Amino acid sequence: MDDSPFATLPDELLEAIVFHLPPAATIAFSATCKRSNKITYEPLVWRRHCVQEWRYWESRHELKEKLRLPPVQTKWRHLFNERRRIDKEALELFDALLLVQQARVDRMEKVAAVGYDAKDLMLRQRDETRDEAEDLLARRYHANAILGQIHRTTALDKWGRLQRRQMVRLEEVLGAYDLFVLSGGRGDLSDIDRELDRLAECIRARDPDFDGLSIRKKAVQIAKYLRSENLVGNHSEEDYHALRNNFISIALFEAPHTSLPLQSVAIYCAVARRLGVNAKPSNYPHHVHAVIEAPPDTSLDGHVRGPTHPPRDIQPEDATDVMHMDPWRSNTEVPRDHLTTRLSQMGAPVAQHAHHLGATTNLEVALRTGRNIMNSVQESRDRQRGGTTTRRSDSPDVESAWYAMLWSMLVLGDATQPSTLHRRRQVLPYLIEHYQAHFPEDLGLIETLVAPMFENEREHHVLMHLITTARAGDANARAPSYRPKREELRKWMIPGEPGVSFKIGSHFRHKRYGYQGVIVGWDTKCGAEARWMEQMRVDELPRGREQPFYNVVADDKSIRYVAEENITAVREKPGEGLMGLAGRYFKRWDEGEGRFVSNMRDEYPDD
Amino acid sequence: MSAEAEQQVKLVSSDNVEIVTERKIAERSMLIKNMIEDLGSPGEEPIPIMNVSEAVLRKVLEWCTHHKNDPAPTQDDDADSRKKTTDIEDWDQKFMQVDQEMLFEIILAANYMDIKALLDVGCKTVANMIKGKSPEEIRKTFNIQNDFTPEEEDQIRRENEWAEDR
Repeated sequence: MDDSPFATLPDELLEAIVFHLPPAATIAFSATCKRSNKITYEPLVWRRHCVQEWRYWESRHELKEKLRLPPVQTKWRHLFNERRRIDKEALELFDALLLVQQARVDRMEKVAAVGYDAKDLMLRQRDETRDEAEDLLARRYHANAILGQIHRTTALDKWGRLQRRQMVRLEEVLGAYDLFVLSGGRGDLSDIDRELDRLAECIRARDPDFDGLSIRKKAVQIAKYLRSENLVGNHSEEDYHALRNNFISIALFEAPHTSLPLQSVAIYCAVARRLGVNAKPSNYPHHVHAVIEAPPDTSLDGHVRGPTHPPRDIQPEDATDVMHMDPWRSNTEVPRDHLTTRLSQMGAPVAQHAHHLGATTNLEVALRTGRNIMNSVQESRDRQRGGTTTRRSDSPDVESAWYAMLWSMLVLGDATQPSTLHRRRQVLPYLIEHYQAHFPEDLGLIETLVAPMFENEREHHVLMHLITTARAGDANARAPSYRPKREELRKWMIPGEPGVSFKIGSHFRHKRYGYQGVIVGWDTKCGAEARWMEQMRVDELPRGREQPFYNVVADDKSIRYVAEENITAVREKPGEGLMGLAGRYFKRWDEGEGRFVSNMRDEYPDD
Repeated sequence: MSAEAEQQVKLVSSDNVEIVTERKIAERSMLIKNMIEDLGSPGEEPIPIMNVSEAVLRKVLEWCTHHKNDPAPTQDDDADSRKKTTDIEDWDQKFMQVDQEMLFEIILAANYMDIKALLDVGCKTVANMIKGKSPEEIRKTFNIQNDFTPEEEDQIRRENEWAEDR
């Protein structure tokens, strides 16, 4: 370095400068001379780059553990290079899948298989792609779809563990539902975990004597804190069933933090367990309490049980052993007799009281949440149909919530019970319909999780056929549909009218029903089955079945088949909803042309 | 407190020049703040700033004057935090438009006088001069001698292939 001004700086100041360099500049600087090379090899430098560059990590990296160890024990630079390489390969796959429809599902699965090591990359593709990008919509849509795949795979893995009676925490069982609807920033399982840790720390920090308190006092302190922070409960009774109230991460991260009693109790229990309080949700009908049990060696009030009392089972009716909290409603303990009185009023037989007041299983909590989501979605659909409100339809996404419920109803429950098989049979067609309409990228999940479930059942054959067809459809190039030439026009057509009037990517309004949509496919004449044509009374249309028909995506996310005579072109840019969906088929909106730029040229080469 | 802040203190540079300034300004430097507390009677005894020349000390005090009312730094300078900002506010950027020698003198002085915010601005300024440059351009900018053997250079290039496309 000699004459360089750097020569005047001691190593620590050179390190302070390197601290402000991004990875590429760190590398460039390290290649200038021996001294800078040595300085940039510091494990702390690459630990910092790793942490700053990627928020999400596959569990195999054990990042949380690595961060706790002294930096020299981890090959941070090596790890950085590995993540860089993974990003590069995933990005190549991602760029390739945007170009053609062929093998798109296959490529999406490959990126999603990278798991959380691909999450940051996909988040950047979704949120940081420039507005001028040539394939803006496709990039955002598919990045978001792959994020969904990663999240759903994780959720189904958690529920799978629950089914196999492996360790899964309450907040993970519930957070799995959140993974289906996760759209914005925080809300992933690791975010929930961190937030619950933080809340537990806050409670400890507020009271220096906290660890010395009896379990009973701790239980009350925890409820007080969570209620004072507005993290449990729901002030507006009117919105009791609002869809958002079913999701633990929305209760934790998004104002107004409302939730159903079940989610409030789950937050309470998760924080309590971090503070050494054994709290679980109860089995109570129409409401959920937290059931808190004393540890084996002391009472809830901290009295040590002497050796004269040999280790004994918890006595549910003994108030020194078990207590109840209702964090959704209050800071205080709920006396047992209040709860039994209510049970009697509800007509619950006395023999059942112990069951209702006892702790429930994580599996029951999961199933109960599924049922709650079903109710919330149905209610919100009824409201929309009634036209009373649309304001809360955006977050969380109704279709995704419904899909979560369908999956939970399919995969959870005691498989040996005939009622479980019955439920699965009922759910299957809805799940398949939803997968085909909204989540075709989930083919792999259908293949690995659903098909084996029906191994010896009559549905298996149909499922296998569906999977094989979808795989073949993905693997093969699409058969191109060329626009009909003028000389091929049928004589019945009005002279001078082109064969297929509207192009792929056209925005339109339905003449009779008024909804808006986008054209994603066409046939020169109605290509539907005879029964459908009969049902829809196609022949009663003025132009009948011998007119072009269009596959369209409507603004309610449904996919429909519309006769040309019902289509009125709209040149204005569609609203947010359609713009989000459009990325599945299109690259971007072309303001000059007044339509979307097709990303399905392999299928419709002339459009 | 306000009377205390308005007190004058005498600083003496390494080249023996006495500079009088407000106590509040001087106390942006933790070194001076601790010295004043140790001495007990501020204002009378001159405080020696042994490693800093007059020109640099005046420059540092100029920065301290501009920033004398800044809130105390928060204690969350967590190395793991994801915010990686090399943004420098406009006034600081202009302030740092000095020749390289002065820039590095300021960094050394900020370090010696324990003025964390100024040290940060200095390091960020140098970091910004490194960013976006090739190794050869960095060498040129800072007059660095390439002391690698050809073999070493080759190895470094191979290790860092991934960095090429960024």
